[in-house]
Amino acid sequence: MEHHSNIIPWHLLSERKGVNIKAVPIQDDLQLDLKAFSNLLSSRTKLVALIHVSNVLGTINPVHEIIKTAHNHGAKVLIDASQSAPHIGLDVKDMDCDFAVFSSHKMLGPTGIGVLYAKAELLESMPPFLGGGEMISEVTISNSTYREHPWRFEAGTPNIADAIGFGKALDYLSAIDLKALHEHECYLRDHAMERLQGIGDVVLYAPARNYSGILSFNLKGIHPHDVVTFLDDEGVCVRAGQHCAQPLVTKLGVNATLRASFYLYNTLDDIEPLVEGVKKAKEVFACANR
Amino acid sequence: MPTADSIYTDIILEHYKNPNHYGELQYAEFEQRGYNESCGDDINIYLNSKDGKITELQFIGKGCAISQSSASMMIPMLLGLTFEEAIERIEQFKKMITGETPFPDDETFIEISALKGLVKYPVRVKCATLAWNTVRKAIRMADLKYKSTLQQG
Repeated sequence: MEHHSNIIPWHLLSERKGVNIKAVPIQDDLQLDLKAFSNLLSSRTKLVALIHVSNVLGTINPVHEIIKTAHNHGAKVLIDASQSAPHIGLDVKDMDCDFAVFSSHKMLGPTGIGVLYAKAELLESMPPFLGGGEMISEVTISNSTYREHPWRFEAGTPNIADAIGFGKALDYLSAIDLKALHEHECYLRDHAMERLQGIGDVVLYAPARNYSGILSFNLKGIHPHDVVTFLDDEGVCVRAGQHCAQPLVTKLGVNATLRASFYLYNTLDDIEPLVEGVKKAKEVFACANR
Repeated sequence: MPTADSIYTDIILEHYKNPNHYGELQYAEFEQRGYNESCGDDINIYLNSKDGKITELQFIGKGCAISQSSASMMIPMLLGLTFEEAIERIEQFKKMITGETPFPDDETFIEISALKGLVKYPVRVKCATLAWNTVRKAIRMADLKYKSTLQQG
């Protein structure tokens, strides 16, 4: 169910260290197979790296339960919170994850900056991964000692401007009731789902429970990139493609999907142009199939 | 401002539905795959040549109507050309589809100019150019081989 950003680093690690990568299977109801997950764990499992909310399906994974199970087997857990931090909120202490990551650009902030959280004891035990200014305590020609975390991991001049921008975005989001936001997004998603189903020939990739406010779908027989051009005309921006999750999209049995993502700036009025664009695409391609 | 309906014209949809020169060429000397990572558009180009000229060109592919129709319209425009002429035509098309130069009003480009509305949809340009970039790679391979046989000759 992972985004490429939670697959590729492990491939790179595997090249260096020869680690084994295993995937938790997905059930037909688009939820993770937790039984299979338990069976995959062993005393050799070092890390469970898991997406909190799927960026393709919207599935919200039961992270509390998964983290507990993983910890019982002695594994550390990294949570990819890129979709949960902006949409349903993130409490790393309550969740008890060992690592968490999320991106500024998915939470109203600037691009190219994000957060990597780790428990303090882990940060204390980790060596630096990058050398440079700011991260050192003392340097001689033959040796150097490092500062404490977090400075130890922040070599060089940081991206100051974007960090300030990201901070402002976090302030803004922190003042919002995320529970109400989640309800609002799900309301829009449910409404869009109903309207799209009414068009006919729309295939939905939508879990029936534990979901957030996104909706992946396809129009039967029409490539999503063709549909998206019609949506473009209606002023609707959706993502068409593999959503940086090729293994998952392949598992859905398609090359690509469309994905409507709802956030705090969307209203019910945004759904009609979406439906109109999909209808138009269907009409134009229906003429071609006469 | 072109709209989607003006791009998805009968010409495009007809080529999408019934593409020209479609099918695997099992005895092809050069085969080249083209793939758009972001959307999964996938194309295979088969090329045969003689004396530095393209004699046979076919494709198979899966993808959006733009990528597939562009491939179908491209092939007749390149068949029979020398490698050099073909590369030049590919470059001409790429300049047109990105809006750098206008589509000319001549016979060669009359059909492919059905794609000209895409200039206003820059995200779709990579769909239209997939086949062209792929065939260029195949031509480069064919050209290298041709030149090396000339030298040995």
